[in-house]
Amino acid sequence: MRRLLVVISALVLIACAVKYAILPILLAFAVFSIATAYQEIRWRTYSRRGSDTKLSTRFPEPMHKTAGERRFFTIIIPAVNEAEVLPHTLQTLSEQLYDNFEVIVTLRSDDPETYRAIQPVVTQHPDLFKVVVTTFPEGQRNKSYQMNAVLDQIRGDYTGVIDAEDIVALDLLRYVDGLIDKTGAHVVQGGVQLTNLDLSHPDDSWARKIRSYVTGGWFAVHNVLEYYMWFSSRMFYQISHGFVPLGGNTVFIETNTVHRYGGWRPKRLTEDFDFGARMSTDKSIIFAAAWTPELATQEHTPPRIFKKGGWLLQRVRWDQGFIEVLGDGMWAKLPTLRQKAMALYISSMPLIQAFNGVMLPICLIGALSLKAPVLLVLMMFIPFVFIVLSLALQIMALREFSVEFGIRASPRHYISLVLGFFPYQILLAIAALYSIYRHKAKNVEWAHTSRSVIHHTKIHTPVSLPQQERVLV
Amino acid sequence: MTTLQSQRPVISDPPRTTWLQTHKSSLYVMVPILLLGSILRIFNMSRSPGYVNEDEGTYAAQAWSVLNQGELAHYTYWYDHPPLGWITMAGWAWLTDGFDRLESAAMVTREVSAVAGIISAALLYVLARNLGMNRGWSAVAMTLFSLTPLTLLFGRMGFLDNLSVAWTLAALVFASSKSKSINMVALCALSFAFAVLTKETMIVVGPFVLWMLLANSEPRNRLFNGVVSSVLVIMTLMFYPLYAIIKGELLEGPDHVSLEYSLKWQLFERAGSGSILDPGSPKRQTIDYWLNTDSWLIPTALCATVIVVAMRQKRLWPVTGALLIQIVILLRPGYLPQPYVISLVPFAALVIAGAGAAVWNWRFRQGSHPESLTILARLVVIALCGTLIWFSQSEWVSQVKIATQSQQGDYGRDATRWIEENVPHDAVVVTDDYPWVDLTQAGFENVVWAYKLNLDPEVAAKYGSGGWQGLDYVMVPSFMEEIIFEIPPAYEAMQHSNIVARFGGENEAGRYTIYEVQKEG
Repeated sequence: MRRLLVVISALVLIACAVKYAILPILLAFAVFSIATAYQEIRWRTYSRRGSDTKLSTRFPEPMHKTAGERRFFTIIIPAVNEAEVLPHTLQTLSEQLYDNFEVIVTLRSDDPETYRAIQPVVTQHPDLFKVVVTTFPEGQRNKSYQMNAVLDQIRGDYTGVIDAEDIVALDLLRYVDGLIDKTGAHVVQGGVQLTNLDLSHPDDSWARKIRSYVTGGWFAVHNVLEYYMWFSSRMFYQISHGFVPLGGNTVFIETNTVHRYGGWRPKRLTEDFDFGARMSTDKSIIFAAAWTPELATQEHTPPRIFKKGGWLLQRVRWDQGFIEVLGDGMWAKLPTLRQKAMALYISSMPLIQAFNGVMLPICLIGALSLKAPVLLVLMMFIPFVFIVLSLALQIMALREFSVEFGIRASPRHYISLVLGFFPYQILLAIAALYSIYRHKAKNVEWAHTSRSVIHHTKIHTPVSLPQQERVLV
Repeated sequence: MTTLQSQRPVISDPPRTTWLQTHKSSLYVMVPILLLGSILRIFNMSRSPGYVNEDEGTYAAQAWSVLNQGELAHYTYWYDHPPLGWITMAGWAWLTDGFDRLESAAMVTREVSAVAGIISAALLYVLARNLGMNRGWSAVAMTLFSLTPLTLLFGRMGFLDNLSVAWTLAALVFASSKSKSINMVALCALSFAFAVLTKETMIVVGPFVLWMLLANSEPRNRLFNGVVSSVLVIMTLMFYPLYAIIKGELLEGPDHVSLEYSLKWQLFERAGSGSILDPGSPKRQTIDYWLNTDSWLIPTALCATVIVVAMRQKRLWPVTGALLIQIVILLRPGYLPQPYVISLVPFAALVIAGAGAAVWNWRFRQGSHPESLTILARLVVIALCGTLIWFSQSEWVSQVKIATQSQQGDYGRDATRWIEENVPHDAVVVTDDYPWVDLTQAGFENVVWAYKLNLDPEVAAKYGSGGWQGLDYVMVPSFMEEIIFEIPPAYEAMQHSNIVARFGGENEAGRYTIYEVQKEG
């Protein structure tokens, strides 16, 4: 009953607003839209704002160091149901060209498959890998809990987080070490890049490829470019504005700082965003990011859009995380008004994107059909200038991506980029709306994203006792 | 790695300099020339030249209409030019209360032209510096631009070209800037788009602005800069057809003006000015008029073009190209407006100064006496400059005399005042566009712009339907005398009128004749 009243009064309010105050509302929306579209262009071009800025975003060349001078890193890998991909990830880590680090794989006791699957790799490098299996009670099972479970076992000066399905660059740690030397940073965000422009396998038949493309594969390009622009440009924008939602992957935090904050917040859907936001309010913490394509950690897009394990639920989780960070009010804790405004903008970006993406065409059609003043209609076209520019930037980014990563982007990917631009905006809007609904319904169930497995490795799984077992009450 | 802090000598930071201190030498050079140029633009602005080119009055009327009627034109806007030019003039009038402050509304356009010209001169200096010329030769470019008789004539009049040149020079300054940031790229694109939205013919210079931008960019950034600037220019220009779409006036149709029609008319159907080879054609007469005013600038610029190309002064090639393309276009068949030369002048000045700088700094690569060859080259440059100044000074002096002493503008003002004092405010007065705003502001309700009796169906219905008897007074300026027979109601009205006032001599430019229609009965 109460809900019905709320809905009815909201509709009445909207109707009154439309009837009496439509022009001021359109004007306010136009101004908002122009401001946010302009900022969108600014962060997308941030790493190209000067003629050699792009070069300066690369990892610096590390100094030559002896064994004793290198920092000791602890890498935490939280994993659930990753039997198919985790062994390969661990294998690549064992081949790192750095020799002063350890890896703690933190598993759940109700996931024996993953434990068994990684045994061959783990037993080959006992000094490097440590596996911790913990029993978590119902309702306390997510990535934060898994990571926090091993906090007191971290030996490294810096703690890194890697996802179970990642291909880490072999020389990454050496360059991260160099970056920390150069900047004195407490937090380092390296690059992560999705590397599949299609969902289908290159060896699939034509029919399968086309079907896969039409039913979902077209979104892959957009997802890939989102990551590309986030890590090559937006990270630097965020750091320069003093508010840094972190990615939960290829991020390295000084261990003392991790302990000072008590680890990752378990009640947050995006513990990484949240951690970064909290640390941003402490001005003594130095953030650094770097983007060198050869050193980016490689991942894959989700294998489908809808349904379980797909892109949509993953995006909903991220958007919910942003809403939680927004609700925490971290942005308001920054000192100056300008910083607060930028932090508010950064925290709300998915919502703003979704809102603008849907409202802009609606308002424009409304303004045209209502015969609004010519100046107002012209104003409402200014965001479209930025949108077209954004599309042009994405097309160039696709070309840069394919050159830097050696992954060929064929004409259909470019077409997909242009034709799929607005549909992708609609998907983003759906995700944002759903995330608001879920947030309101206090639904914080963690939806696990499926992995698209490109490599199939056969693993022999000898059964053996767990190395360590802890019970959390 | 330890540093022996205590043993390091104390080195203090270099003293901070202000912007003024850094640019002192440039300012010493720039400011006097700017002052002289400004004085020559502003002094006697309202009296000389006289009321000789109706476009000034039209732009003033349209600017007035933007401010006072919220419309783009005092009659129906028919997409003859994109409106940014007179919107800018309206902005100036709004800021400075121009239409109330000045007795003659057309002078608002002249004020804006003067400001645009001063800004253009400063921008030209900066551009020359960006292109690698030293302060002396940059000053030469600026001086040529500010002082040429063409500027003393056309630069003092309220033409859109003066504003468009300012925007174009700004775009070129951004394109050649040392900073090379994305902001410069965006500002370059925006400035050029505004230049085209002020005067659409500037679009032919576009490829050369892009050339300069790309040549100034690092090779790895060229694609990026090219794409970003092109997208911004195109999208900004889109606002013009967008306005037409909002008004429902994009495509041709019955009963309304359209952008499509105007574009087609400008490009294809408008009567050309004839061939340059035909001595009687309007085109030839226009070019002769320009050469009579200043016979040295453009020919010297063409010779300088050869030097700039032969000596491989690559940084100057974009502006040289911009000059040449405009000259090529004016030679082609098509309509040639008189103020067209305005957009040639800054490029001509740059090319001349650039050629001079190239020869002045010429270093002979090998040879037993390289320094003496450089000295010889410099003596040649000095001799050439001296010769040019010697021969051109008479034209310059005569144009300065005209600018500072002529009073032809008074004729138009006096004629307007006569109408205001002697004619009832409800009389139907047929005029050109110069007095239109002044009479309308004075309370005249039936001021009719003569050409609209033919071209605008609404005006024809309201005022022309009664034939010549519907008109009471006809104001005829010098430039309308030959063509008024094309407007039957006005022409017939003149046949049935007495001349009640004359301002200006028999064949003097800027003269006005006022006819009072003698009604029967």
